[in-house]
Amino acid sequence: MNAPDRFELFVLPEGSKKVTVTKDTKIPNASVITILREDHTVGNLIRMQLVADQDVKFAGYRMPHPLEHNINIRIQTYPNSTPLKAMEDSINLLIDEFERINTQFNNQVLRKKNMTDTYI
Amino acid sequence: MTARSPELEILEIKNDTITFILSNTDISVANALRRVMIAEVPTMCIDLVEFEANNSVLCDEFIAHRLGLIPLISEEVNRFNYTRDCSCSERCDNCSVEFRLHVKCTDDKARDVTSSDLISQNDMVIPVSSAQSLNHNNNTPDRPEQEIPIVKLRKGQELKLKAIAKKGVGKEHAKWIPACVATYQFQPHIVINQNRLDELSDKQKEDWVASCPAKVYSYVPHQRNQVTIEDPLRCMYCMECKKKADTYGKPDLVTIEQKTDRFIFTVETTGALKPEDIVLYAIQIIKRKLTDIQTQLQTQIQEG
Ligand SMILES: [Zn+2]
Repeated sequence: MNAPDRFELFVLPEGSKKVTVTKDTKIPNASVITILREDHTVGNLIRMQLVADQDVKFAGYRMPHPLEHNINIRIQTYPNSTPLKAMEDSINLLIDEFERINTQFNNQVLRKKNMTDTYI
Repeated sequence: MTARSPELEILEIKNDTITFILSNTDISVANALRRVMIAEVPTMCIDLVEFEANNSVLCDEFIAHRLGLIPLISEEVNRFNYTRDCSCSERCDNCSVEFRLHVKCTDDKARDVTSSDLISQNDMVIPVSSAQSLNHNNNTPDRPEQEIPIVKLRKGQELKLKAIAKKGVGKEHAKWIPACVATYQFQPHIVINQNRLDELSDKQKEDWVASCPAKVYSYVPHQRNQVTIEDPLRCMYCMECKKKADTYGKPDLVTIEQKTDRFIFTVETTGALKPEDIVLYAIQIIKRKLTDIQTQLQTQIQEG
């Protein structure tokens, strides 16, 4: 009866922002990026990409509460970069990577389909 | 930093399964792909049921739940809207498909109500089992064993209902999951130490090969290479062969390692989507998620 709506898992509440950036006031070059309505799929993906970045000193993500479908990504960089730049770079690299996987998959499917055609 | 250049090789595409190797990438990429295939690739499923008559042994809720779990052909799913996004007030043909079912048992023999009794208003969205029996019509006219049973009716019992199928994702309810299997494994790297093997008697070799429950090895007597690795992909890292080798006092007979940068994916569909489409849609969904975050991040930066 008081169960939350099932679509709360992935529908962004009206008027709220998907991404918000909060600067850490105590540590230099550190920010927390909150992404609404995402989970470990994206959280872990971005975190691993951030950790691979030479300019990133610390990167981690967490889901603050299992019933709230948001993630926090915390980034601290060395002074030659900023958390926002690191985040942008990581996401661009990931988009590139999935673009490559996509083209390769399409090519391979076409090749497989042509092969079976010749067999028939 | 430069982007990794992942490589993808499809090993096999069958009617309901696909296997491929993804290499040169991070485990988080493989895991994101797996998670999205399970939880975020949309399909069509029965979501609302209106009962007009039901005096069968099962209660309404029980039957409604069973109807929801019947996989429907969802190849046209991209033409549908989610009902919550649709411009209609309640539901329309752009966001739902109506099914009707009316069965009354008049025989002395019990009547099986199955997925084939569901009459769809849209020919493109029908139960997977009905489509399969349509395809096989030429050689075997009736294949009742393919149909999914819903309830049994005895004489005088009747079931009449209207069911509404909607678009949804596995995150919302497991019935919308398009894949019944979506896994990846690491490529096994198995090396047999030939010197240690030569020290074994023929009987020991035979027993050692038989110790593997997944039948990774094969033993052919009276040949130079008596023991060969038949199919390393069958290995499930149970290490039974290692334990057997230990009993012979030869722990270095075989080494089994996981190549943690090569992911062997196996995806099996429920029939709702083609297996290659599940993978393709998943890749596109992740891309869309990332570009969405990218644009939102940029507007945040511009706003300060
Ligand atoms: Zn509609």
